Amino acid sequence: MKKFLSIILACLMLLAACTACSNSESTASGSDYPKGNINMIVNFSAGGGTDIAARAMADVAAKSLGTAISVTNVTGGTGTVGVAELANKKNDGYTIGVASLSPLSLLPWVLEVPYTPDNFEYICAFGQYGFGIVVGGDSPYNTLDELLEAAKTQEIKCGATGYPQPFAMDDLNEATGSQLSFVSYPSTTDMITDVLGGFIPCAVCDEASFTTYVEDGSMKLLASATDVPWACAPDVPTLMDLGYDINIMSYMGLCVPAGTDEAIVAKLREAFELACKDEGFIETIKNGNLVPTYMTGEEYEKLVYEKYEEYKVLLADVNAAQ
Amino acid sequence: MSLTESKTERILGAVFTVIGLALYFIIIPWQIKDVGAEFPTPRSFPNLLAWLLVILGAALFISGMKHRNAADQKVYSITKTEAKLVLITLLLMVLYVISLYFVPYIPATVVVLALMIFIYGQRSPVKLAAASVAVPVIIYLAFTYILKFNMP
Amino acid sequence: MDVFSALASGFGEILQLSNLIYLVLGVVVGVVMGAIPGLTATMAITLIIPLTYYLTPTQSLIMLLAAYNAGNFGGSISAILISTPGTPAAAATVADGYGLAQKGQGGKAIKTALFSSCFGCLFSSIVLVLVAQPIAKYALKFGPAEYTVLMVFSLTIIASAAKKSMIKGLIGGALGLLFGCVGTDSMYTIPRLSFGVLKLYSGIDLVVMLIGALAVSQLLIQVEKVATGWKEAQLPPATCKDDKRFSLSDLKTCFKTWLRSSAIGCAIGALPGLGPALACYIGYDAAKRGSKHPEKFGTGYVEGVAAAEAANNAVVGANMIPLLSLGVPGDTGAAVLIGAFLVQGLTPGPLIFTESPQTVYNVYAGLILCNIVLLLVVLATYKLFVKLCSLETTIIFPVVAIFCIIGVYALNSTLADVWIMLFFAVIGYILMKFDFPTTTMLVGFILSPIFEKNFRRALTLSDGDFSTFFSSPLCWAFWIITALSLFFILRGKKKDANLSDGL
Repeated sequence: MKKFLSIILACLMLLAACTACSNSESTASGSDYPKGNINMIVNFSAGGGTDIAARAMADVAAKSLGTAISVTNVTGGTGTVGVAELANKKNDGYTIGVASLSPLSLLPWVLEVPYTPDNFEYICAFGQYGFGIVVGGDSPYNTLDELLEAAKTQEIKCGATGYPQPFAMDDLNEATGSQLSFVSYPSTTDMITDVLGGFIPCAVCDEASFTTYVEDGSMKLLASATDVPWACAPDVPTLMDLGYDINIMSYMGLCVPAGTDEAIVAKLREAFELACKDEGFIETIKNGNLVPTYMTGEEYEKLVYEKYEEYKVLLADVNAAQ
Repeated sequence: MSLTESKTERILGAVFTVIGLALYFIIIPWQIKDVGAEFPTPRSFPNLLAWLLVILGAALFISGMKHRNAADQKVYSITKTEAKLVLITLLLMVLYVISLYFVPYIPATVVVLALMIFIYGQRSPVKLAAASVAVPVIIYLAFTYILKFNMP
Repeated sequence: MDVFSALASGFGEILQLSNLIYLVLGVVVGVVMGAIPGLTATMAITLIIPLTYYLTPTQSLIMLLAAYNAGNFGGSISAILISTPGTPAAAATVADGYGLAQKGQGGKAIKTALFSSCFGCLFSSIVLVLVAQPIAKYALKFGPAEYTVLMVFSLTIIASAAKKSMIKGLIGGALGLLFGCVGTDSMYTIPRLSFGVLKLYSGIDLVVMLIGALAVSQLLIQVEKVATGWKEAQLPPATCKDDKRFSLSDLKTCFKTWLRSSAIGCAIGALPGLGPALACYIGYDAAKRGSKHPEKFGTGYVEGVAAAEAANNAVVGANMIPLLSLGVPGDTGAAVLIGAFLVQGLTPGPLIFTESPQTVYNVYAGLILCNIVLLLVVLATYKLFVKLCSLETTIIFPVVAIFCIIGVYALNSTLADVWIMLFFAVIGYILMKFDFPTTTMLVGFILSPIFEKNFRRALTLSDGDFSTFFSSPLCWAFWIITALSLFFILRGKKKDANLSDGL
């Protein structure tokens, strides 16, 4: 009886091992890539702006690559867990992942992450998060100047979900002598309800989540904090228009683990360039209130490293002050 | 092995007091940077909880002492066979998870399921094989094809 | 557009076969995923979302909502039949549900849970349709100070849930509160208690902890019995017809509870940041305190099941209130739903009523209808579940164990969560063995981050002025409720002490 059992078990294991072998891909050369499913890791949760954009892009790219791209969400640590996961995957070109600017360049100086920008090859950047300064709908301030004037005489609390937004506040304070004081809101939802409820007078927020409130009047956009005005409020000036040299940048990018074969990287770059320029994809990005932007892999890589060094300095000050 | 209620109270009381103290003096300073800000700091709440544990642990211990000789105490016991099976189950689960780092999902699950079912006393090979193969396969199919989800 | 005519056309839309199919599908998937320990209602929607890209807004939204609602019910099936909650929302159903099952009244328990869940969701759906916007505006009045006081009140639940030994209950609560501190600090972006593990930066997932501390640990306890030769079908059969039915007298017992729990569920769902897990505990607690037979709670009492289930499903409908009116999710499940809206090109928030009102009313109709579908589907198939669970223990437990592991893995595609789950399984096992109420640990864990975050933020916004906690009528209201709550708890404990002395 026991023998019978062990025979069955052995057979099953053999069978299973065989199927397993045929499924796993060994390192592929550039010419016959892709041979099978590609897995894309998205570092934010399903249904969020980043996720939707990534999936839309994956759909288009899958067609030109001729294979399916399936998406897995690995969330946590404001985007770092997914990126860390990607860094540890095999560099055979069958795992790609979304790596936004913040987890790559900024968060390593705030949290202890097990990767650096060196751990990745860069495929492209496919979208940009817009930022802006908002106040509640019935706030007494209608322009940024009014807000800053008032802030000169009394401290005005300003919410943000994390870095690098507070740097904008610091820069404004330096330039005008205002006293905008940073209050941290790790959750965007909390920030939304507090601004709507009048519990905090103003906030540096992201376009994707706050557009709808600006559109219906429950919040007022005083200025856009990136280099382009918000899509929903094109006549609200940017901080640069107003004379401040402030531009909060945060991009969504796509990467593969370092050491991936060059031919594969080239193929991926090609496919995703097409995807990013696809009209349907741009439509989706705009619907999510993100800013359609395309950067080549090399350009994104340069930006990541630039910001990496920049934030190292900026955050050293912050950490020291704490 | 069996313990009376008051004895467990004393043991657990001591344990929690120690944990609370360890938290306050060792773990929290180790894990949470000192931000040097004014109240409330990131450490405030955990510190408060640590002290709460110390106090409660002490209270539990004292309660154990007070009831030491009470007549109708509850007795906690666990026999060797019970403990063995519980530990084996845990061990199997741990091994299963470890194996998932190296072996793909289907073989690992089939083997572990078969082992567990067998150890729990199932002797009919038909039922054993049926369950240990059918369940992982169904899960695999459901997840991969219907939900488009990747298994380890 | 008049509400009722819009709603009527909404019903018309839903009842078309092309839409109805997705509703039914959603219910089925929801119930199955909810019932399997390890898979949850939120996970059901997360996994379904990619499939909805190609559907119309109406189809995808009602499928998701149906799954969410059905999932919150489904958890109670496994809670009742194998004492293992299928979803966090069913955590409070275990005690009474399984108790009933052990008395042979499993059928009654399932039906109670079913009717309670449907009532809860219907109640909140109607509230949603009629008064969503005013409620949402009122919910905005809850700032950090108000949330803090609300949390203080909720903390008294920990004391109330401590059964025999207040000390043990409080220890459980303290542990839970501590575990809730793991993660990134809410003000300073530094990791806390993460021991260098990246996964812990965002804290411990409630589902992971719950499955570990309630499901797997319960499994281990049952395993003890297997060791001593417990092989056969686990539950005693029904002894009389009434055991399988939800009778009129049950209805009388439960109706008041239904109303109370649904109201509580609505309130909790409408406030962003709370969730069905909290609702089931508060609903259960409130019912226990308001009932004529509080001592029966926890031993297998219909009212207990009714209280927990009505509350957690009421959250489903109520979650839509802040979602549709403000674009703010009530909890993680609703947050995933926002994504579903965005995929379809709709933006939840104030504008959705002007941009696509018909879709909104279709959603309302779907929400109301899915309860009816849920009723029909489950009534037709619950015997199947009962049969499944009476398979041999030698097969069921390993299978459940595997499901828990895979389910937790499926949450975030990472095995790290599984390790966390196993850790809590051990802790839960020890706690359960020694009569520490695990409820207190879970409630503490849920409340800890919300409480601390709001407390610190309130102080920051008021520059350290503690009077902010007394500054608004809402705050005062909750302080009074808290005081009353403490008073009743202490009085209850004293009564218990007197009773046992007098014996």
